Amino acid sequence: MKLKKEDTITSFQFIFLIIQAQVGVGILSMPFSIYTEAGHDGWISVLIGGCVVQVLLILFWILMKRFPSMTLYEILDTTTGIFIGSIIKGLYFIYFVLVGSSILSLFAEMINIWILPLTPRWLLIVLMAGIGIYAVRGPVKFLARFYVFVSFMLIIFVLLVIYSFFEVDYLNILPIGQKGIMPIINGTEKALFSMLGFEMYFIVAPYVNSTSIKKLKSASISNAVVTIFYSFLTLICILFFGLNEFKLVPEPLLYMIKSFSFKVLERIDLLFLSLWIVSVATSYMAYLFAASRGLMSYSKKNKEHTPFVLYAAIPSVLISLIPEGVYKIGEFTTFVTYLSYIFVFGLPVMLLLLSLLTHRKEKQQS
Amino acid sequence: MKDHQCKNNSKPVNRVADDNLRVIQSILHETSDLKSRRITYQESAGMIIYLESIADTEKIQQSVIEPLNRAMDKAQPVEQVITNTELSLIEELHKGVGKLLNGSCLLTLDGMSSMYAVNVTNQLTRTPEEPSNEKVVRGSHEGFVDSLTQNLGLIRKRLENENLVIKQYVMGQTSNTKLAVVYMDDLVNKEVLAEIFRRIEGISVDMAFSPGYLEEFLENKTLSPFPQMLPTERPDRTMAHLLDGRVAVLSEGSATALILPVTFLSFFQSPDDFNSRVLSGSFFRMLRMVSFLVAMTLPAVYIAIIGFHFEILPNELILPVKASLEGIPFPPIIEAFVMVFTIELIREAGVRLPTPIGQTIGIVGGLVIGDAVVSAGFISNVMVIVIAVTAVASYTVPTYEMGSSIRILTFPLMIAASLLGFLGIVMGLIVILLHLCKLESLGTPYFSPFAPLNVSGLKDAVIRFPLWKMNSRAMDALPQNRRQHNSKGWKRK
Repeated sequence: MKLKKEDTITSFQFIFLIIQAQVGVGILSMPFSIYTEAGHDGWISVLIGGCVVQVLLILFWILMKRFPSMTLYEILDTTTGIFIGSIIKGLYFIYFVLVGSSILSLFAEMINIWILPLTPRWLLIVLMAGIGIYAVRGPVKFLARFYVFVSFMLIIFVLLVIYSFFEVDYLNILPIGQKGIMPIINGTEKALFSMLGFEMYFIVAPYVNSTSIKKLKSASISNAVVTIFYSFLTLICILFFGLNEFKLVPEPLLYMIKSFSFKVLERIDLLFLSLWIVSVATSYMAYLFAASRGLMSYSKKNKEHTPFVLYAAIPSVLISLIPEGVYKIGEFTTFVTYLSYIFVFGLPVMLLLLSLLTHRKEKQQS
Repeated sequence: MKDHQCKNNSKPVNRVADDNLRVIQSILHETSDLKSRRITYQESAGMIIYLESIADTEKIQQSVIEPLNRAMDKAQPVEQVITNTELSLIEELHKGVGKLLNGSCLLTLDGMSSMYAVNVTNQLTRTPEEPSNEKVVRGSHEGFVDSLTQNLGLIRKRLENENLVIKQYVMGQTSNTKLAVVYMDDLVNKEVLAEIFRRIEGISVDMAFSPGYLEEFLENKTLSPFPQMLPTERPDRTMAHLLDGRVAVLSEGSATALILPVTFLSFFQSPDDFNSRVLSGSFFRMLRMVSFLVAMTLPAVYIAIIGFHFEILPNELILPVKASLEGIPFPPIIEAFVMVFTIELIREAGVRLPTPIGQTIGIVGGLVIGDAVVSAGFISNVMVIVIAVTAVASYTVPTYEMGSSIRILTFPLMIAASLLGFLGIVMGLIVILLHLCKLESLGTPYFSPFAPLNVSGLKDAVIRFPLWKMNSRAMDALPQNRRQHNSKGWKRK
């Protein structure tokens, strides 16, 4: 056994890193937003969304295989040249910061609605950002350890939700496919937005000390877990609420859990929200890491992302303070999610084509 | 000996015994416990010089003077005459002084350009007693004593193995304390060991009176609330850790061995877990883990419920809690702080006082204050219960250090809970957890086997598996050899 000096993580930790980056702030409202598009076939949309993510992951893998020790940022530098590369890198940095700030503002909004109506938003946002800064400073392996540990909580999550099986009506999902294919496809779009976070593959994969195919395997496992988890949540919400009631509950998971009461704990939704905070924190940390890693790629001297975390966190806090009220925050979040079409779907595919056409590869050290 | 002494006193040994005595006296500043005795050996006058305070006069008489007298007429060299096991020839006076301070006596003879140093150290020992802060129900009741050699003996007695290595260091510019680094050569991770040596050699202190004093010099993060090295007074515990590939540091004059690198879990293990049956051992260990969580979070959770989330309580509970809060003038955070502060006062007062008075303090503090404060209407009943349970829980942790760090962690959590309710507690816990994940003890992960997750390590974590199931060593110290021989040999055909 050796003391691990270099900053690498195992493929096992990689699974949880991606899961935790994906499961985040959107989980509370995800079943609702899918339902508004796909109706009671929403769970099929989630499954289709998982397949789309899988295809994308394979594309990512083909790209990353050509540049095994590079993150997205270094790939941009090599394939598109330094000048265009640094512009696109900047755009990616802005994208990650924007996602980070949308997470922060949704988090603060949800806390204001559900737990602490009088606490100022800025305080919640600053505290959460502080936690993020503390977490991301230092090697990635520490972050990965934390992610694996807090993943135990997803099990509690599932157990809390499973309790609702006692009160569901199975007839609510029938008839399957009543509205046709189009609503399901539209719902897939919404599902994809909740699954965002798998783009961390671009940033974290070079840190994984493993073969390229194993990295793909890890990412696929996490995608499978998240897909099944999400479709399970959507399904259970549909079964629980049925057609008419569902339209009234923007955070269906919370409303569902709130309706149970045990002998010792009356309001389990508070417990559920407490666990949810951890998930929010982990996905914020992931995006903060991605953004600060992007800043690091501009610097020639620095080989660590730690000094840049603050510069990534401050803009995300400031931006997250701008939108106020549910509707503004909703608009902001929708805007950011539409940006992901470019940054998660469009640009990577173009990069792949570019690197295939120009036959650019990372020089093998041998 | 140390460099600074060499500079001042590097004089060769004189041919005249009296001159030697005079020089040594001046080096030691005419200290009163420096004694000498004139002798004659084979027609040459000589002198035995020793420090009365640490030399054993009986030994001088038996192993130096008597043999010399008996061999007066035979033409034998001194090496063959003296019966002591440790005899060395010394050329320079400052080395002689060093030996003198170590408990040797010096034998100088006229006409010789060197002297003999004979080890006649007075072994000031006490019998190994059970350490009062690490008691066990069953198992060994021996504890370390204050003498380094005897402590090393206690370890050797338990580990009759050729791979047990003891490396001695001298620590402390002024105090020149002996320090021993003990490890199993075939198990310990060589890189960790090299790092420990590098750190020990890099330390420069005037005084090193115990390994606990050195802890701050050896650890990475001094400001962390969690102890990163395990102090223990139990030889059996030390042995078990050595066999996990860890390193123990002992020092002269201290009954504590410092074990490093350790994990968070090591502080929750007790030899009792392995002495008792599997089920009860696991149960008690789980109890300790739960009590860790309770001690850290219970006051915070209570404050959060009272201040923010009353609705989480079921209807039947709301009434008694609300009734006890009726008429209390303070907000819950002040109540909690007053009570925790009182308990800490009682503890601190009780620790230093002799036992009979300590009990009185306990009764006055616990019963009188607790009862009076409630009937006076300052503090609510439930709060007294909560704080008392917290205090009891924090004392179930088998190591004192971890217990005190838990008690320190309750304060920030209580403040966070009073500001943000459950959100504050969760955020506080996230920070603590992050800190645990980031903490390393000499480059090895502190929160192993939880993070990084190590499934085989979990066999000896929250619960304890049967011993014959634990076939691999704890991985956190990165031992050279993973396999551990535990099997029920008779169960296979």
